[in-house]
Amino acid sequence: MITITNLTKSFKNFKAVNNLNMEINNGEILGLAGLNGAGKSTTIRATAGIIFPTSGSIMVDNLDIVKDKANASKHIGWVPELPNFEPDAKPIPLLKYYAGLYGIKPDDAEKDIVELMKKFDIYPYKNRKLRYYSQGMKKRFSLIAAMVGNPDNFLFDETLNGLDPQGVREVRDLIIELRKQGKSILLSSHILSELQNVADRIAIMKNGAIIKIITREELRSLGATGIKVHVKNPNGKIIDILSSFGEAGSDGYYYIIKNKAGADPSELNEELVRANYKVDYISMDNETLEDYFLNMVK
Amino acid sequence: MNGFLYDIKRTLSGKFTIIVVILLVLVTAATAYGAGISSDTADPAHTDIVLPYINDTNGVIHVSDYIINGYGQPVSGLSVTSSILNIVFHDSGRDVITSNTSMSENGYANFTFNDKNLTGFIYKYYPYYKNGVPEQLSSQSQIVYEHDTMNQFQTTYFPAYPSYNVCFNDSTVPVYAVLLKDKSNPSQVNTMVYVPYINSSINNQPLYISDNITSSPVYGVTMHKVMPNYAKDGPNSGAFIYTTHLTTEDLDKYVNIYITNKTGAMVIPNISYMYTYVKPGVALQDGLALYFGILLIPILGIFSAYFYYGKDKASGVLESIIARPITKGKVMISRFTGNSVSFLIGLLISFGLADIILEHYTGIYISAGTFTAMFLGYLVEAIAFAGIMYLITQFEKTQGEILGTGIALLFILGFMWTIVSGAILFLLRLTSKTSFLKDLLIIDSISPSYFPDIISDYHLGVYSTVSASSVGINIYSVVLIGLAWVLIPSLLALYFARKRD
Repeated sequence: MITITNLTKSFKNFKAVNNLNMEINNGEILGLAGLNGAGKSTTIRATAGIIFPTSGSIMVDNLDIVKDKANASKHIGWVPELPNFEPDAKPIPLLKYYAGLYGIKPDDAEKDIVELMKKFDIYPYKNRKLRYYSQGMKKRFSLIAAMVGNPDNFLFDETLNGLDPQGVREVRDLIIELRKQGKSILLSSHILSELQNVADRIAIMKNGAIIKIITREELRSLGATGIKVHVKNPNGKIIDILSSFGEAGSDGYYYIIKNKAGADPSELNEELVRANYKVDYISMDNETLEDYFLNMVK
Repeated sequence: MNGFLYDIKRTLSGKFTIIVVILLVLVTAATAYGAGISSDTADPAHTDIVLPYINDTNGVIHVSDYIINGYGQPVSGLSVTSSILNIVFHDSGRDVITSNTSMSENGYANFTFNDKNLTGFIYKYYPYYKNGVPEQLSSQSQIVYEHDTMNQFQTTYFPAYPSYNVCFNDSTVPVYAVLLKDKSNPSQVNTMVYVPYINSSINNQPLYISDNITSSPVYGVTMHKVMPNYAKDGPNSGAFIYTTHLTTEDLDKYVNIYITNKTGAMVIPNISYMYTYVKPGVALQDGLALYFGILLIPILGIFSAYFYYGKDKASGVLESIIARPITKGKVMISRFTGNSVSFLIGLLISFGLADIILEHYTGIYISAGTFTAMFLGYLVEAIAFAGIMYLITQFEKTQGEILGTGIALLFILGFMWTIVSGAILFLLRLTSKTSFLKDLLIIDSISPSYFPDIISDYHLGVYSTVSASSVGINIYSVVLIGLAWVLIPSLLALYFARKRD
């Protein structure tokens, strides 16, 4: 569990993070969304112990990341946006070195490292220096490096950037798997649809502060605006039926019903079938997270 | 793997470390080679010198050759070859009266022959033997015995040391003055006075040996009184070894040896030689002083710190470690230790190899004191430069800034420090010599590139032209300066590493 209390981080006169409060529970994925410069990476870097907070506290499993850095860091795995490892290092010795920092014996570490490298498909490149790894391979290595020591908390900072679709899926599956294991996860991403897919909550940051935290329930009905429907055998009479459910219109393919509070798609579907329309698509026409997000941060 | 061990291994196996260590080894080895071959090539242990004495007792000629090696030690088992020639010269040359080969024992090779009423004879012998073989000179040395007097004609031969002068002061008894090497201290040149016959008129009074050191050679001095400042009790018979205490300050100056009687009259002409030979370690130090301390070691310290810490910190590589269960301070200590150990190993390899090379050419290893002074001096310097770079790294954000500052350090504290210190001294307008030297020492202490000189000055006891202690160079000040250079930059760097992002 990660608890961030009144976190402020200033760079000279600029407040990158301003009095931020946040809690990530065990078995929870908290998405972190925000425009560039909103303070997402600064928050994550402070939580990882890379930079010192100007004020406030960050507790990782009740250990202060500043005052008890070495112990707190045992409980946290950080996957940076741009993996930057010793370029001349080979993966296994470097990971063993990392493992040594967690107090793991070299032989035990090597066994786990080999398994993880196989899982993430970079074991065939075990003798290659990291400088010769592709960006995707570096990301995979970065994931393995974050899992050394089996921490209970993970920080993913724009981890999906630069990954191919297969890589994105693997990371997504990994994050979900970690959640199942009861890990707490802070995931920042520009790909809001991914946040929407996996996050239990999404915190929207602006100017170094959280302006909104959206729960999964809220995500489902986020900005619902009407019903979208498509039938295979439309005719002029359909508008009459649709209008009884609200303000009906068409974008040329779908019929869209707006501004009717409490409109129920299942009732509309029933009416249309009864009138011998062949309905092949019907759904709530929600405002997307992206629309919502942009409205929030503009 | 333990963090310290990993960093040490990583630093030692890093490309830059390997390149620098190879460079250090090559440069040190080349300097040692230069120092070795430029020292004299005499091999005192295997060079034998023959010092003959001829005594005529009622027509029976006794020839007694005293044979010593280049250290002045009596030699046994040398096969000494010589011949006696009639002094009368015929058209066909001189008759060989007898040829002799004697085996030396406890330094002496003796033989006897009758003069057969000769008016005179020539004793022809080889003055030098190398590894038991006579040195083939253009002609052998000769002692001419005629009408109860003796004179010597010696072929000039200078195998550096040993070499000797001889004089028949009273026409019958020679006095030899032999320049020898000191076995326990190769920087020293000793003078052995050898008077073979105890009852000669010379030996009725003790000889006095004096010396002085001059910028130019002294020839043909006629002394009429004992030089009180230098007079020593000499031998009245046998061999006596006199030591002139020479330091590096005497290098390339002339050492003049005077052998007088008690009234100051010269018994033999004075010997004057240029002092060129110094200890192997000192020769190496002199050679390295030109570029090692002001260029190579600063490069080693500055760029090692840059490649193994500064660059990683600026590029973000260090963050991948800091995110783990380790503090920023410990990461810095670990890297710094890795750097320091690599300096230590690099210098040990370099000086160890240099020692072997010097021993090969000079027959003696660098003294423990000189080795320690050199090793510690350069080690402290390298650690100090690395510490300064670690400190700078805490305040610079980009690799370019760090590297640029490092190069500036190399210029200012490294090979341009002489100019900088000179400018400071000029601005201070110092006139007193002692004050000047003290201030120069203080200013030199500001740059770690001069610490090896300071520790060397302490070791040799000389700073510039004055004694080291007179300007405050003693064990306490040297340790204090050394500790300051090792600890202050690194501890400041550690403080800021722990406090700054």
